[in-house]
Amino acid sequence: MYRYVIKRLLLMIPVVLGVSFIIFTIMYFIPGDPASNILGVGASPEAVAQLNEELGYNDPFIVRYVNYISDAVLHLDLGTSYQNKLPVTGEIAKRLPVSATLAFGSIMLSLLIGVPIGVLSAVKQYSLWDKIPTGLALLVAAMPAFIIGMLLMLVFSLQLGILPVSGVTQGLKSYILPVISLGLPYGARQLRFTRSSMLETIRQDYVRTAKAKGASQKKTIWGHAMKNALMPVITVAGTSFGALLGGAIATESLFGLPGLGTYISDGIKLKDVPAVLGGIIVFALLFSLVMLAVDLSYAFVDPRIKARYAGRR
Amino acid sequence: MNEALLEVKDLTVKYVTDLETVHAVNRISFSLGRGQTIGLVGETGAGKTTTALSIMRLLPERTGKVTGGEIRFAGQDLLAMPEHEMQAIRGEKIAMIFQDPMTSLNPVMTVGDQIAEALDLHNDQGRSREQIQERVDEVLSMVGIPPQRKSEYPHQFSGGMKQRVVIAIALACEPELLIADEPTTALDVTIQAQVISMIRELRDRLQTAMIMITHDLGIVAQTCDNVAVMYAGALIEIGSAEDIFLGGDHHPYTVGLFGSIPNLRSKAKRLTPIPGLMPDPTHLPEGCSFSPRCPHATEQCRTAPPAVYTRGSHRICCHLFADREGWKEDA
Repeated sequence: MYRYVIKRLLLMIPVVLGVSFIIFTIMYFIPGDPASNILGVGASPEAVAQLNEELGYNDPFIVRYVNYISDAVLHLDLGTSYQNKLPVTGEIAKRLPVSATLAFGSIMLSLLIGVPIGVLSAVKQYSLWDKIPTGLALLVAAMPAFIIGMLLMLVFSLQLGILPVSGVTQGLKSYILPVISLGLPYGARQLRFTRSSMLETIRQDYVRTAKAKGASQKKTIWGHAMKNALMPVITVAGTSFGALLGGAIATESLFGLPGLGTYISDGIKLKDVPAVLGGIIVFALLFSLVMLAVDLSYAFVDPRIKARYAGRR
Repeated sequence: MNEALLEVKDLTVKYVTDLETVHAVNRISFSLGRGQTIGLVGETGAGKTTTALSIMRLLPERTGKVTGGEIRFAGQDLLAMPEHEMQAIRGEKIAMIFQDPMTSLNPVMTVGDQIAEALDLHNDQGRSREQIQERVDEVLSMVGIPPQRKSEYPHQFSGGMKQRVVIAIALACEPELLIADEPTTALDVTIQAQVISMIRELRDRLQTAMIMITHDLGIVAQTCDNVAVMYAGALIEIGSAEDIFLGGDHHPYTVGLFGSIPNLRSKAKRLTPIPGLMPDPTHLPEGCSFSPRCPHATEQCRTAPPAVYTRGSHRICCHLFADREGWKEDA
């Protein structure tokens, strides 16, 4: 098992390197040079050329990439933002908790909504307990997060005035609306996955065996079916996390949250190459870690997978 | 026959969907005394498993419906019983062994826990955790599995061992009635013999009544006191093992069934399968449901459903016996 974890951690290195290479290449082809970005329009051509030289802009592509990676790995230095001349690493460290709170909160909300209601609608298939939630889920899942966000803002911030419109000045309270608007569509997705997984599981022979032992409906569902139905649920939660990081960009902008999402989107608008590069690499790293956690959690749910991990060299 | 433990009377089960109605079981009646074994024989789709699930009240909730008849177990009407009372009977008084051991155990639960669950659900004696675990060990060794394997998961067991676990679950509470639904169909031939002799031995030791569902006449001959032959949801012949295996009078379907298995003593070069297929259970023929395949079928067979004719313990549902010597129409 430990061998498996270590192997997977080592495998993350090429993944993150690959992502960084692709992003670095894309950024390389974006027109414009760092010095004119930093110095602004009024700068003299000589000053621009000199700064570009200092920043290593005139080095060959591969040299620049290798320098960037070695700085990142050896000194945790992701370069300096063109925008505010601050180190990217420090900025990411400051913004990461905001994004993490948003993503974690949204995943939790989606699970809290999706799993219990999904189970309920599977168990009561075709009844109103099934039809109403799945119908609503379809509606919510089809709505982009920012639409839900704007509606929530309209009601709770502008009409009722009980929750802040934007920013993180009011602590956790500031996260309520963003988490709902981002988590709700994923909750709807989670509901549908839980429902179909549960429907499949409750038709399995071992559920019938449990009933034949004299177990009640409740015991068969929670004691036997739930653990077996959980695998797809975990998978969806994990992959949602990736999509959630992407979706967070829109939600963070809408609610003016100073997270990684806004950092990257602002960076793209201002051609702030180090900011975009650093932000995306951190996203890739996070996503790989979450996927590893997902794969490991399978082992806790299913002893067959645990045995397979243990057997793998 | 001593006092009946199980009495099934005119049981009729239908599977109803939006598209069609499947007449799975049609007015079957049989009874089973304490400690006795009845074999339920027939082709796939004859309604054997449906009969068993009706007794367990585990028919698919939305589609499966008992539309007539009654099932009495130890004097109680099972079909009229509220679900929570039925839960107390399932596993405790009536237990079932399912066909496919590969899928009938929960893959994410240790076999010990799965056996303990049955004991835990019917813990009338107020056993402690330790006592339940002791009983789990006991049941496991009873089915020939070393008790220390109870902390293993089903995927660590072979098919035959899994079926032993399933049997251990079924017998944990020492039920009065055991329903074995083709317990060996999914197993290798060599393992089949082991499992069957084990079931037989445990049945004798625990004095359990049993319904043995199978399409293997050899198993029936080895295990059963009485035999019921089902065809297209109907009981077409029922009698003691002697009546079925030694007697000369049989329903034409039973004759066909025996003709389709190899016999070491007879010199037949070829088996004689029954021509044709079982009728579509959504549209059963008007008269005798076997008439389309029956070599003796007359016009009467195609139009009028046959009555039941009896001779001693032997009952046959066929027009041919209307005026055969020694056979009387059942009232």
